Amino acid sequence: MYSYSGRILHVDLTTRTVRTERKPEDWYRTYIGGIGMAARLCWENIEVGCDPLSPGNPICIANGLFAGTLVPVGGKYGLASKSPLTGFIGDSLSGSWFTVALKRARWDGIVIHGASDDWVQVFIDDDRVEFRDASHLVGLGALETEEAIREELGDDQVRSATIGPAGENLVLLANVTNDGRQAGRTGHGAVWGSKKLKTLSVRGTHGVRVADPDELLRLSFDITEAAQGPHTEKYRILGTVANVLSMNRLGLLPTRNYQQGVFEDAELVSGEYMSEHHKVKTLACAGCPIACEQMSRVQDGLYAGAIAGVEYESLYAIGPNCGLNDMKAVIKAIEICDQGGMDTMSTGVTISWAMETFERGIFTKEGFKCAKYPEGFEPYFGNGEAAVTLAEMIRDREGIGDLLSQGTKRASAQVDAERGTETYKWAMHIKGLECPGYDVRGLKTFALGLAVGTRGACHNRSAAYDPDISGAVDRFSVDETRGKLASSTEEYAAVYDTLPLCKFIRRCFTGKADRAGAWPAIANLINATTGWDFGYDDVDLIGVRTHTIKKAFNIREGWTSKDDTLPYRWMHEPMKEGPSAGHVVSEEELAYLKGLYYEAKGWTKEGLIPKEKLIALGMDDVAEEIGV
Amino acid sequence: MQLTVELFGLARRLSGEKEVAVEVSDEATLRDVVVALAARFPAFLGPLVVPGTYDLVEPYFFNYDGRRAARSLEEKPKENDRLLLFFVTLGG
Repeated sequence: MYSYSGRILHVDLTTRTVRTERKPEDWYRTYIGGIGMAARLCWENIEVGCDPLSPGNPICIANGLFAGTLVPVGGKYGLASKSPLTGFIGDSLSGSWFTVALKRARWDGIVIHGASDDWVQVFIDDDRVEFRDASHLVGLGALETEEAIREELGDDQVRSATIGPAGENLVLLANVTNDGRQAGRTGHGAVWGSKKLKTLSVRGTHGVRVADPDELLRLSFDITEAAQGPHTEKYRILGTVANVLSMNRLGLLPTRNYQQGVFEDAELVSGEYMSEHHKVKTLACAGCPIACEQMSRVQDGLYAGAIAGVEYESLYAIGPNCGLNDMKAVIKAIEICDQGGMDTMSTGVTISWAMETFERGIFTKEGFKCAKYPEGFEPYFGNGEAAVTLAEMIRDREGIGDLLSQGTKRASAQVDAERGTETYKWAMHIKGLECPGYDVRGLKTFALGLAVGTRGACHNRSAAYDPDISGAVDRFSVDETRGKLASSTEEYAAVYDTLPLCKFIRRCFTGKADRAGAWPAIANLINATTGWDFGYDDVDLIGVRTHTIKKAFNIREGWTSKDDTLPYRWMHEPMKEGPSAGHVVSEEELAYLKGLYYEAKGWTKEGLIPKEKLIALGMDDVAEEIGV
Repeated sequence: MQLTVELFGLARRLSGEKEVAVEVSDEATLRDVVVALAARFPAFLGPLVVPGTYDLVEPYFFNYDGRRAARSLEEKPKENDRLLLFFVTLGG
């Protein structure tokens, strides 16, 4: 095989042993890499029904098909486990050099089983695997840990995926960091922490063989050249934070825990403002000609010296959604999350839930006592220092940070059980995963996409915002087309997540981002890399299979249609102002939309998958277990 | 007729304006609005507007006052319409 080694590395932290599994070429043609392969490895290796923080929940890593090749933006890997936040599949992507090192070490994937008694670092040195003491790394920030390992091993080419203090403390919002990028969402850091795995480091020294180097060079050159043009300029100049003003103008910018969709101070936390006042440089992942990450620094004041890569999703969650118009506090809070190894979106939304709960008088100042503020503090919306301090308290599980470290779903359930309150009504999560930066009361196709999402509320797995925002449909109403649109757009996204290719490249093949514009070009890349004979339909099937294996995983873990729902607020509280004023996604609308979606998938009315459909996708063993 | 166009992202950066008033004929289409904008801000040609055809470079598009996206540049806006010239970036 080209590109692939045909080998999956199994590491057992309990016994400190390793073994190599060899996979046939058909398996790779079916699951490809990234999210698809990582989810399949979960399916094959997890103890069904296990506690996500138990040894029975493996860490599954799948390399990218294009990692280590010339293909631009192909330097990504998939990371999957059973999510401690949702209890369902937790699948994430991260970019950059870690995946290249893994490819050069000739491992297509890694499955980490069991749990260690003591803090451990696993070092993969091509074929050799070493278990090293990590006790001296405990307490180090995620980025600091990467540097410490390079220094310890005396090799600046060693690449590490690591957790920070949040993961060590089993904060369910914790993520995994590599090369300054994060495999965010769904609480991977806590899974790693439960295994006492501080870091996974790789040194790879081999080349990556491809089937047709000349053709791949030509194709990659064309894409790279296009990626320097107008289709990516928005990412290169302002990055994703350019969304702040656009979303605000559409009335979709989550503000004060999704109570509003218009933030009166949006200009002060906009991409334009950040670029003018805080941006110091842009960074790129390995092999990326776009460079979208906007590194921003606080120059003066209380948080002078704070520096972080700022994305829209981080900015909305900690900024407008917490009522903050202070970019300096936003950057500081993001830095705390990045160094602590915490998901900025889930952290921001959990903080905004706490702020609203305080403003409603359920939480009081005394409830926010901590070492920094022994008398407590008042976390009202707009209090930047409160957001910064709460991020630290969540990371350390200090005081009320212990409650908040469990995320909005569990925190609200606990408070409601103890106090007889109804804070669940403003707990903004789906399946336990905090919501992204779009108020879907004004995006009804996307509302469906989020509700049925296999990993919960995720803007990266569903691309159903596109028909709503582009005007292909009326975003304020529902009709019979939405089930097919939600299905089609999530499978579209799954193609990119499985290869993986960064979606920011999607207009650089032919100028058009749709399937007709991209799939033939992607097939050419796959074929030049592997020597296969993929066509349009084969590329399309990548997304279908990836989504199906994730759905199958959830069904096996006990998913029912009731799990496909939306936060109470989105279904019962009309938007107060802006273009979406007066709108909710009613329970009746959601039930109608879900029915359309299951039908579009060819599933049963209960959302279960027929056996024959699974068999047609080449998933006979899956059909045997969960097919109906 | 007179329209107002709010500018976002690249359009704002290239023009230095948050919004501009545009004067076009009563029968004008959105493409005529693009032509008027490009005449006023020649820097739009290339990065934002395709020279010759005056198509908007994907993914830029018009939206009517945050409520409805224009489906085509052949649509005819109305007097005093407030248009947004912008884009949305998601994914990654």
